[in-house]
Amino acid sequence: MRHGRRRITWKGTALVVGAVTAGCALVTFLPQDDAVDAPFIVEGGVGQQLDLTYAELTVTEVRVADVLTSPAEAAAAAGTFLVVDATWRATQGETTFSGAEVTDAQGRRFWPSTRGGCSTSASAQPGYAWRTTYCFDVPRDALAGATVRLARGDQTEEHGGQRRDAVAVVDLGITASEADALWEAEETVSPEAPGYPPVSAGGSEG
Amino acid sequence: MKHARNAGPDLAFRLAQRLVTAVADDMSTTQRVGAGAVAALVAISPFGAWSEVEAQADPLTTGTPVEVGPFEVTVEKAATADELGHLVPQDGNHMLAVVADVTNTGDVPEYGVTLSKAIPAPQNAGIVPEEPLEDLGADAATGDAAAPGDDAGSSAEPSASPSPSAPEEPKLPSATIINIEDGTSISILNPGVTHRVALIWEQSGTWTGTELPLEVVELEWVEEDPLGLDDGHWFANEIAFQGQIPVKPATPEASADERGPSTEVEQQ
Amino acid sequence: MTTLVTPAVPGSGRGTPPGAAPSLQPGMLPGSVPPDLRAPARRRGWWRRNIVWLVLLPIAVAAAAGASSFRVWAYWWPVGLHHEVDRVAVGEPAHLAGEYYDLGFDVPERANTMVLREIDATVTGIEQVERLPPPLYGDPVTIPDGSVAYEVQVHFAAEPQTDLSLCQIILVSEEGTRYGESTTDAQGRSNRCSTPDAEGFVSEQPEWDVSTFVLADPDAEITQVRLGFGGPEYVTADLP
Repeated sequence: MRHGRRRITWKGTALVVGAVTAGCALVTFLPQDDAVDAPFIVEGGVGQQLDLTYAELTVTEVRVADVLTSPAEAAAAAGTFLVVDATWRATQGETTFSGAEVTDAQGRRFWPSTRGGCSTSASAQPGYAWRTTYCFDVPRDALAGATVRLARGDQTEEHGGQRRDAVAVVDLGITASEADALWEAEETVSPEAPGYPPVSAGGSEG
Repeated sequence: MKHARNAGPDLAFRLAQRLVTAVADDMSTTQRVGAGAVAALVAISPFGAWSEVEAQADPLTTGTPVEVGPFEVTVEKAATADELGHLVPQDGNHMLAVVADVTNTGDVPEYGVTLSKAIPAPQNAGIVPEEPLEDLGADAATGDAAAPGDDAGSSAEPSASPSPSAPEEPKLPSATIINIEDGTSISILNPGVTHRVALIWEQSGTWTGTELPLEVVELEWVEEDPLGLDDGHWFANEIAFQGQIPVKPATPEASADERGPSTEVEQQ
Repeated sequence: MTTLVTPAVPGSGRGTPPGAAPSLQPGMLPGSVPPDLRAPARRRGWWRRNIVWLVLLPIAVAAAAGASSFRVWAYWWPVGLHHEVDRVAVGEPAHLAGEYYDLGFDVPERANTMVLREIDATVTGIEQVERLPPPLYGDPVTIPDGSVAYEVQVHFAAEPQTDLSLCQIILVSEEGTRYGESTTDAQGRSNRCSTPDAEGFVSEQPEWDVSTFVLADPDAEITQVRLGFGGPEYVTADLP
């Protein structure tokens, strides 16, 4: 039976200090959050159909505009508008696609706005394709190498809503030389309201 | 044979124990408390307990950029107008607009609401206060609570408890932020993009000043928020810049189309 | 090896009878060897000591997980069809009973109370159609490219003034894909369980028929029709 206090020894001190250091190192250097929470990223290019677990997504067209016109309002870009047309086809049930974000080559992030009649999210069900247009007001140096990140989960709080969910990252295919030409051109775009894709000849009539 | 109790760490502990005992044994309880307090004060010194509290605000002048949080703001001018696009004041009042160039210098988008927290409504300038919630109509089912003139600018945080007694300071609304070039409402400010915006409040017609006492509040990034559980947000702390901005009076023409803000303010 | 004689150590042991070897237990005869106490096999001892708690451990873990699952009960369960209350074949009546919080828009007496909604639904027909008829209000809708349309006919029976808002009539394919989950159908009608000329969201007749349209994938094989009102309860009608 032990009486009195434990002795503080070199061995004991070394054990405690070593354990605390090891614990701190483990928590700091092992990317535990990344491993547990990482989204499943599906990469692709413009015109390519990407298979996310809950939907099929195709970014159909990328345009750059200085002015957007819609029945409600006209919007002028402070930088320039990156206009991304995408078609969603849900595969599970009624789904709202809340994530839409452009990332540039330096890692800066840009969010869409509703100015000029554009959408910031989309909502669709299985059984039909749903067209949406997103518009991002970006500076000149964001154009070259920009990618768009579209998903069901939203991107606030460091993409918190996209944890362990499928996410599409599409390379918009803008090279450095194209970027200069696109920036200089004065274009006006009228984004279409979200809806079914345009009916081609031979489709069923209503 | 060397016993464990003479090893380094234990020896150090016992010596320290001896020292404290030797000093404290001769003290009365009061003296021990006093000594403890002194020791505590000494202990917190390396953690910045004695740094001066900033009370001075730097001067704010038109044309000079200031850094506030993720934004770089250059106030251009202040102007009044009878109407600004879809913003129509009550009878006898007019709209006050502060024109500024705003750039998001960070790497991530910021909300327009954050900017309106950094540039609050000027005090003592006749800005029409927010209507308390209970005055906005008895029928809760309709849910229509917008007051004319400051619909888009109404504060995002309605008061949790409607003020029961009159003498409380009325709360001034946050600004409606309009992009001057096209008259659209700004809710997101993307990095690297400079917007020329108008921060608009409804102002009482009885205010006759020629200078606006504008304040810019510093924004502090709160990474972890143990109190409000709102991790990762910009917190409006203390006034960082303060200045008198000359106000140009209203123009006789008031146009009601969406290019209103641009034509109104450009003519000043 | 046990010693029979230990060197005398002053002060060790109490009351040692003079002359007796100090190592012997009292009452033992000299020359005998004290029995070896069996050293407890440590592993067995630990298990025996802890067996009850080990058995209770999985139960405790399950209870803790259950107690922490408040969010499942509060957020996931009520939103979406999670509780099948009746399952029938197409053509047979299914009884759907579920509670909902009535806001009193249609029947002011029920405002802000929990109300039990009971309704009998019989799927009387489901077939693919070539075009969508124009709705009573609004523009006609064309079936988009890459989609087919189904018309689902349902016969309802319920007490008059039964709340029918947030009605969902869903076609489920063999793979589990749910078509028509929205409260607004392919024609743009958002009052799917009511007749087109109904004014409010409550039933007027004790029995009535509705027809609703759902867009689906062309190669989907529809195996079930589900009916619900947004809440966890729903009924299923299996296709033959």
